[in-house]
Amino acid sequence: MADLPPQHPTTIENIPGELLSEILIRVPAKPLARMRSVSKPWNHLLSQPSFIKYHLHLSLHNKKDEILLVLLSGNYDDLFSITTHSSQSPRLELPDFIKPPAIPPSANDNLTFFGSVNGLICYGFRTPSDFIIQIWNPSLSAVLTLPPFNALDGFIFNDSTYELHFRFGYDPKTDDYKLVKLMSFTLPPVNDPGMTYFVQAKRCFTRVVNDVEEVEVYSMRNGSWKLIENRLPLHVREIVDEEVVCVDGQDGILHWFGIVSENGWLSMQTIVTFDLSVESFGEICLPNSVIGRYWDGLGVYGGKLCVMSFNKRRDCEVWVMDDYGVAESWTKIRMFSDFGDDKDPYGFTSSNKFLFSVYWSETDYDHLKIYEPGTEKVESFKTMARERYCTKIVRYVESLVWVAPAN
Amino acid sequence: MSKKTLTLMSKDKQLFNIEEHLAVQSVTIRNMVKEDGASSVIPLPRVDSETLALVIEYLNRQQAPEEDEDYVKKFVDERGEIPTLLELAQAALDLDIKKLMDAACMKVADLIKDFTLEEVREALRIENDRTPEEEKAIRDEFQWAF
Repeated sequence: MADLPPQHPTTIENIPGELLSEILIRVPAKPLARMRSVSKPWNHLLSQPSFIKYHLHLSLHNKKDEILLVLLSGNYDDLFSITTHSSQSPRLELPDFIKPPAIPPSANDNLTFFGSVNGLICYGFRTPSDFIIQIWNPSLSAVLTLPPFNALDGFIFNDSTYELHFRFGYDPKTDDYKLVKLMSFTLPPVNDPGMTYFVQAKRCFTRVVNDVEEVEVYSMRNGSWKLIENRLPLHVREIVDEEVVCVDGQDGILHWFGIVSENGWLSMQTIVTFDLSVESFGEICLPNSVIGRYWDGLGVYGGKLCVMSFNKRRDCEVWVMDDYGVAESWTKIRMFSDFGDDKDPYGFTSSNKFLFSVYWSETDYDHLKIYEPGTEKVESFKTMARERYCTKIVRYVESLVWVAPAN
Repeated sequence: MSKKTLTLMSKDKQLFNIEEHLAVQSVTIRNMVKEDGASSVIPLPRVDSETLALVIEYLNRQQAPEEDEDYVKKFVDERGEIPTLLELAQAALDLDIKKLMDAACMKVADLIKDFTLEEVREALRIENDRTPEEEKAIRDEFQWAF
C-alpha cells in the first residue's frame, strides 16, 4: 500500500469559502442572523444578496416539511390570530418556533393580514389615533413599521365613506417588496338591483373594491409611499379581494377577480393584474367556459396562476394558465367532482395540497381541510370564520430577507 | 469478467482500491476517467487517508436506492465530530459527491445552529476580529436577532 508512513490527519485551519457557504446556507435564518457577529468575513458572506437569495431558494424548495400559518383577521374570542399546521408534526405549537409580533391589545380586534411572500408577512391595525402597517419576518423576529401613507384631503379613519384595501408582493425585477394601497368608496348596499345574484352572494363573504379613488405603492427599498396615476381598466367596475391562500408575489404581479359591467349587469369576467415593477394595472382573460360562472377562486398551482371554478353539476374545476398571460393556454387540469354547496375551494399549498373549507351549520363556522393528492387523504385542522377575507393561509418560509429602508 | 478497479492516492500517499463503477459516483473521478482512461493512480492531494477511507466506505455501500437517503444521514451521524465532518464535507465537495456533501454540511449546520458565538468560533477555528465596540454596534443593528 503506502510507501510513506501515514500522517496524523490534519483539521482544516481556515475553512475555504465554498465549504463555509455550503454549511451556512443550511443553517436556519435566525441563528444565521446572529452569526453575522462571528467575524467580519462571516458578516460579509451572510449579508451578500446572493447568499440571502440562495438561502431563500433552499427554504422555498425544501420539500421535507411544509409549515402553514393560518392568519386570522379581526376579533375572534375563541380563536388565535395565528396558528400553524405542519405536515410532519401536526401538533406544532406556534411559540415553539416563532414569536408572534407584539400588537397593542387595543388593536387585536382590527388586525388585518395583507399578504406574505418570501418569508415576509405584511399586516395592519388601527390604534385610537393611527393606522399602523408593519412588515414582519417571523424567522428573524424582525418588524418594520411603515411610515404613514398619504390620505385624501379630509379623509378620517372612522369615516365610513372610504375603505382601504392592501396587497403585498415581491417584484423580482427590482428585487423589492411592495405594498399596494387601494382607497375606494364604501360599497352601496347589497340589495343593489344592478347586481346579479352571484355578485350579491359574493359580497356577503368577500370584500369588493369599487371605484378606486386613489392608488398608492410603498416600496420597502425606498422606504416611502408613492401615489400612482394608473387606474383599473375602464370597463372593470369592481375587483374582488378574497384570496385565502396568498397568490401574489413570486412573479411580481398581483391578481384579483374583476367584475365587469355588461348591459347594466355586473358579472365576474376577468382577472385584473397589477405589475409591481412598472406599477400599472392590466388584465388577463379567464378561460372562456369559466366566464360568468357562479363562484370562483384564484390561486397558484405548481407555480402557475390557477382558477377554481364550479360547473353546473357543482364539480370544482381547476384551470391552470400554462403560459402566463396567454389566454389560449388555460388548461383544465383536474376536477373535484360533486363538491357540495357546503364546501369552498381556497387554493393549493406549494406542494400542491388542496385547501378547502366545509361549513358546519351547528357551529356556524367553516372547517379548514387539507387534501393530500398522493394518499387521497383529507385532514381537518382549523375552524375559521365564514368571511373569506378574514383568513389568510401562508407558508412559513425560513428567510433572511430583510430590506433595510434607505435612510 | 472481473470488474475494473481504480487506485486512489490520498494526500499522505496512501493507496486505496475501489471498483470503477462505484468510484464514478464522484463526478470529479468520472470526469478524470473519461479524460485519460485513468489507467494509473488517481492522486487526491487535498484528501487525507483517514477521510478518503470514509469516502471509500461510503462509495462502497450496498444500499437500495430508496434507503440511500437514510443511509447517508446515518453515515454522517455516526461521525458526529465537527473536524471529521469538515474534512468529509470538503472531500465530498472536491470529489463532487452531492449526497454526501449535502449530508455532511447539513450535519455541521445542525450542530452549530444552537452554539453561542464563542462556541461557533471555537468549533470552526475562527478568530474574533472585532473590537468590543464593533461587536456592540452590530448587536444594535441586528438587535432582533439576539
